[in-house]
Amino acid sequence: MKLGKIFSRGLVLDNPIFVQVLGMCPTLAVTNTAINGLAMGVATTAVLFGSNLVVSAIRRVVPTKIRIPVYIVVIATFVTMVGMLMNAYTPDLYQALGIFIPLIVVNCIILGRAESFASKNGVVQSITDGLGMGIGFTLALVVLGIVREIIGFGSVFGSNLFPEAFAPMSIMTMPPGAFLALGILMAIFNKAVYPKSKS
Amino acid sequence: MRDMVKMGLILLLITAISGLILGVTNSMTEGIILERALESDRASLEVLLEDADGFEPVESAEIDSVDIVTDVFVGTQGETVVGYAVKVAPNGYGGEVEMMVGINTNDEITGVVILSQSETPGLGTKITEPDYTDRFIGLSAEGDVSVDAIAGATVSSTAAVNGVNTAIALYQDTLKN
Repeated sequence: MKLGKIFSRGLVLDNPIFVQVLGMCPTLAVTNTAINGLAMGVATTAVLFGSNLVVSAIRRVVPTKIRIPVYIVVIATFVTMVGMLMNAYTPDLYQALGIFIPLIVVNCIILGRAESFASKNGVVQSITDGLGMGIGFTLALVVLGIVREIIGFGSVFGSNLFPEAFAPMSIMTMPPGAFLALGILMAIFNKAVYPKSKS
Repeated sequence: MRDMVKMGLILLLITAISGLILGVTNSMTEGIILERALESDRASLEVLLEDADGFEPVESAEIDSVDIVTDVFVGTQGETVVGYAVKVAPNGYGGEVEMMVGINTNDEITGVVILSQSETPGLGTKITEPDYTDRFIGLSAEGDVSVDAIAGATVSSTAAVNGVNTAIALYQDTLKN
């Protein structure tokens, strides 16, 4: 498979959020503002990149029977590193994302890509796949964050859009708003990408 | 049997490497994280005890014996004590909520600052907002206080109130004398 195709598959055709519907916990929980969505997406992409790289590099050495514990160790190592680095250099974002940083370990996109792609393909393809999936995830989170932030806070990336009189719908900043926004965005995305699909 | 030993060794090798990498990352970031924490302590102290021009940590066995209290600072203006700031870490919904409570020598709460928390984003995290923390300002520190909880974040709100009441108890029992 060509690298461009692997990359664009993660970005659009197999988008982890809108098409595969994976990793819903961080998606619903941290996208109340665009910047939180972006930070979560970038952190996840970094982990996905690292774990796909290592899993693919060691795929011939690791016996099949213990591959899952090995993947978990690799993923947890990258997540802990990202957490420490964020705590040191971007403490505000680390505060805002809170518990969801360590929870990247159990994000099923990452283990999913390690198991279904990186463990069967070469290093270069695996990195490309990790970046494609990660950026697809990030884009989805940012779009969701922008929509929720505009309606829920009346701002985008923290800068106000509307005059004082605008009354934000605070339900959009809460979990129910995440479900509403995600459902509608998912419908639009799928109609645009798979226009002929019957189901 | 040989297979099992081999698998164990591979797992050992991989976890050892990951432990090494994490150790290196930790030693790289530890200093920066600590420094930032100290800086933010200082900033919070200045907000809580406006009149003070100097801050000193208070240490005593009595303070160490109180659960969830982590640090105590005294704020002074020249030679006179103007108030105390108590750092407490009550348990919230997603782990410990680190917060600092300021009490002045008139037995009044001067403010509450949430330093770090892992509460539910959008609900529990509201305890960090001035809208909530301002509810404590000016309350009497002569006995337990209570403020309206945040809807949907009862556990987080209770944690904050617990923290404040622990600080008050410490102030009344130990610091004041």
